[in-house]
Amino acid sequence: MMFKFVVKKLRWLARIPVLPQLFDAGLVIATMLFDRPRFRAMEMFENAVCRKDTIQRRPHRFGGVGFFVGRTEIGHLHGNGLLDLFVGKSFRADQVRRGRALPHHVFPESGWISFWLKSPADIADAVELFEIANMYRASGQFTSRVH
Amino acid sequence: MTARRWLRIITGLVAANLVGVAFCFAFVLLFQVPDQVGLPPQAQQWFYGFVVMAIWPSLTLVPMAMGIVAAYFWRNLSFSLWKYFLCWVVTSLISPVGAYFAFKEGAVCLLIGFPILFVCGFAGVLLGRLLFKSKTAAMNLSVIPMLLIATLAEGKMRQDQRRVVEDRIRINAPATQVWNYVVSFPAMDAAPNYWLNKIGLPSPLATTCQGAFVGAARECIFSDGLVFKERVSEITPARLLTFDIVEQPSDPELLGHLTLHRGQFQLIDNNDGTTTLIGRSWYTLHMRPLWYFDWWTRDVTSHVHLRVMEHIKALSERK
Repeated sequence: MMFKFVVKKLRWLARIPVLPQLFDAGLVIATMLFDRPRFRAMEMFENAVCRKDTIQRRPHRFGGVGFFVGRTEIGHLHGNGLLDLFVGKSFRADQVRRGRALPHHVFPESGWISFWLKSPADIADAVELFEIANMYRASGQFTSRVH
Repeated sequence: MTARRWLRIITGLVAANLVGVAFCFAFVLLFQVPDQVGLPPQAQQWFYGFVVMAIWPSLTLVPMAMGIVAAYFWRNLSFSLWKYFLCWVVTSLISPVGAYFAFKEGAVCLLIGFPILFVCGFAGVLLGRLLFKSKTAAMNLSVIPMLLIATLAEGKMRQDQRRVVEDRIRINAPATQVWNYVVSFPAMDAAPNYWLNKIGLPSPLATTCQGAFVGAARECIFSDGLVFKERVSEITPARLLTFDIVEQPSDPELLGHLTLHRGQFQLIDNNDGTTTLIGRSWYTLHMRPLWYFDWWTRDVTSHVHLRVMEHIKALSERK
């Protein structure tokens, strides 16, 4: 709830250097201490996607871990287990309609989707969505103007 | 775990704390430069302005730098996030414990400051683990200008300001009766119920005053033998008492952190046999980030006010 409030109402604060990283560190600590299954899922997801040589992890400008191929962002994982991926508008509509993902938590009409990692049971779905995002980027259609 | 791994963990732990200590000493030394070099007053002013703007010891950025340094030394250990977290718990405890024993810092101040050190430092660790583990093996240099801008911004906002905290309470007694216990009051017997008092923060016990006249010496006595020496600066019987704090105790919880300037009690007759008692304290806080420490200062001061005012209320309402 607090994350929702900060992201919706205090988004302008993300422009202050270092603040998103601090906020995300707070989320990681809270998840680590109070929601171990989610935290385990986050670690497992990070390890699973980074086995691919092409994927690089970097600090994301809005906090959390960004997943990149070269300079192109595939998606990012917030400290509370919220995974944002760019799959393009057509895939987004399809995934949301099938209930596999949610519209992006800030930009619901964009080509981004959100997916909550809640426990290790969600890893397979998350990795599959990540693959879709990665394939979408590889197909050369990656034109995110949102992030 | 092999000896080599332990060595890397301990190196990271020591290096992070050394960076923190080095930053703090560097700031202290820099502030002594004008005196030692003998700069003329105007040049001193410029120098202090520059130093304060550029590199004020930031409680946000120094811990982050510490975390990044620790993560650098732990980069090849294939740590899980949980292990990073545990190592950072140990690392971040060393500075406050060291400050307590080596510099006689106040335990309550350290306790209040610890969450900032811990969270900001862990943010640094999280950044560092990504920066130094990136498969491109190139450090994301954008963090450095970001840290610099943040330091500058924080320094720019670092103008000490006098602030006031105010609390009020309704007392079921006329103002003339309440006034009897405002200028001075007998010792409080009840134990404080504020959690910081229970772990060692001094609480008010009694107040003595030479008399109800301007210039009268007043003493506010706290537990642990701390005494705030005050002087009455304004007095209107049954309405207003203002006193300046002329000397505050050299307690590690206060020294260099907080300056208390003035206190005031105002009584408002509600014309129904009750009185509203307002307590005010003026202070300047020297800690940063201001928003964080100011919240604590207001909370602590409010509890001091309310403890005194509840005592005055109990005495005034006594039949």
